[in-house]
Amino acid sequence: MSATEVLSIVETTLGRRGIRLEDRLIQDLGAESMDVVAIAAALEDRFGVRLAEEELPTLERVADLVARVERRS
Amino acid sequence: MSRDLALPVLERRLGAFEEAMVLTQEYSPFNVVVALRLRPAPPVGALRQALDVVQREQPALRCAVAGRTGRRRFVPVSAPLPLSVDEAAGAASFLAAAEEELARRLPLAEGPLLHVRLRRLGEGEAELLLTFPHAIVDAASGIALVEGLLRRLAGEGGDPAPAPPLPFLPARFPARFRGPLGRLRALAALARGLGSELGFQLRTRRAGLPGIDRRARSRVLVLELDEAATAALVGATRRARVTLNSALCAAFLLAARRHLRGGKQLPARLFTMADLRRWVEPPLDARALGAGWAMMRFVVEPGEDVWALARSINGMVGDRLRRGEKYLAYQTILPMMRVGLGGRRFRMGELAVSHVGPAPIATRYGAYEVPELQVLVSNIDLGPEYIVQSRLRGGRLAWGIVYLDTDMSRELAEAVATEAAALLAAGPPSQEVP
Repeated sequence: MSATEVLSIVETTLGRRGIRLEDRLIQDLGAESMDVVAIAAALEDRFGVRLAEEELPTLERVADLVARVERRS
Repeated sequence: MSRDLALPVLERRLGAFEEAMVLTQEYSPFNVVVALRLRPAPPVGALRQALDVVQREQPALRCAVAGRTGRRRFVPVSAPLPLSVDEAAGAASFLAAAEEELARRLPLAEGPLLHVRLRRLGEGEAELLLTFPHAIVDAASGIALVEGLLRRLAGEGGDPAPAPPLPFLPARFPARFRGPLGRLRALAALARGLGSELGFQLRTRRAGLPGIDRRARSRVLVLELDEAATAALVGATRRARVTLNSALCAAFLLAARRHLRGGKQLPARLFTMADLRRWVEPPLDARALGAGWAMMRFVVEPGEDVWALARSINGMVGDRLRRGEKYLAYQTILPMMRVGLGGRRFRMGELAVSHVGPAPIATRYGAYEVPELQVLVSNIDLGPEYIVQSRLRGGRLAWGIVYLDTDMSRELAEAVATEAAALLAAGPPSQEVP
């Protein structure tokens, strides 16, 4: 369930459809730092997950976001 | 040091950003200075050994710059990295020499393009100062180099692992920013930039903005937020849906407006750095020492509310980045510098902020503790009035601030930084969060 919702958040933020879990946020989807912050904020609102600033550069793919939401610490 | 043909070399023409940074050196030094506090002080022999390994690994540290503007090339050199040692610099003198390093004239035509200085502070402590010309370093590769050096100093890392040379960047830009069409787009961007500059000059012609003073010297100020304040600020930026860089730009602009301009409602110019490393194809290796970024300039209307301004800057910078203007900013920096340096009549902006995110430097490497790290950038005489280098380390936000002594006193510089921190501490009102 969370994978679908995370994909939906990423698609809404970046304004594009057909995004896959294996896509890289920056290299494949062209996300800028503003987009990454907006995605992080939306995940925090939706799932209550707190993403540290130091974590953001390590979340390279959409799948990494899903895994992080599922860990949710 | 003998040449080893198996090692990669950096023999290529300079890109536009590198050319522009070298051009500024003809007027005043434009350096990046990394300052580390180390406990205990390393023996000179061990430091020399570690530097030799790092120099073997990094092509950019085995070269000099030859030729004239627009046709410059990196050429190999064989001299070891210069290392100077200040014995008994004195306790509590950390960063006292940083201002000298910001003004150091590095011999670009002779190389190597890094100067290292070890200062013994007493009590078993030392300061290590690494001074690079801005042309060969960006936030990612500079910190990767320092990290590698600390590992070598701690006896880690095994055999030297040569880093790739930084390629000629424009060759890796998306197709529409390369070739004749790319150059046309760059020319259009340059024309828009000049138009924006003229508009700014017209609107501020009676504002008494400071001019260029050749006697100016870079001065250093550092400020660190504690973990609680840093966490609160990060939370506030998430609620406001802005990057830390946008929030810092807004806070420092408003603080500078109040303290340096007496609160006058004037447009302001600010600079921010756009990292190109992950946006070129294929992406650049973080270990490839070089300047893989572009400098983007914005004219903004500051207004009064820091979070409204942060959202405005965030939107403006985001739009331009998504349109690919970072590639155009890269290509137009050399003509822009030529105009600025040739005319020598205007300053390039009042504020340059660069938040580069987490600094992956640990607090311990073998026997060595690294309690403090600062990164500073020279303020050249046509540069901004206030430069802020911001990074996260150990959960704390650290600001390395450089200003010119002809523009403001230390008290005034401190007042701007303190006010910026106070503006951010309040956080965005919850009803205004989008």
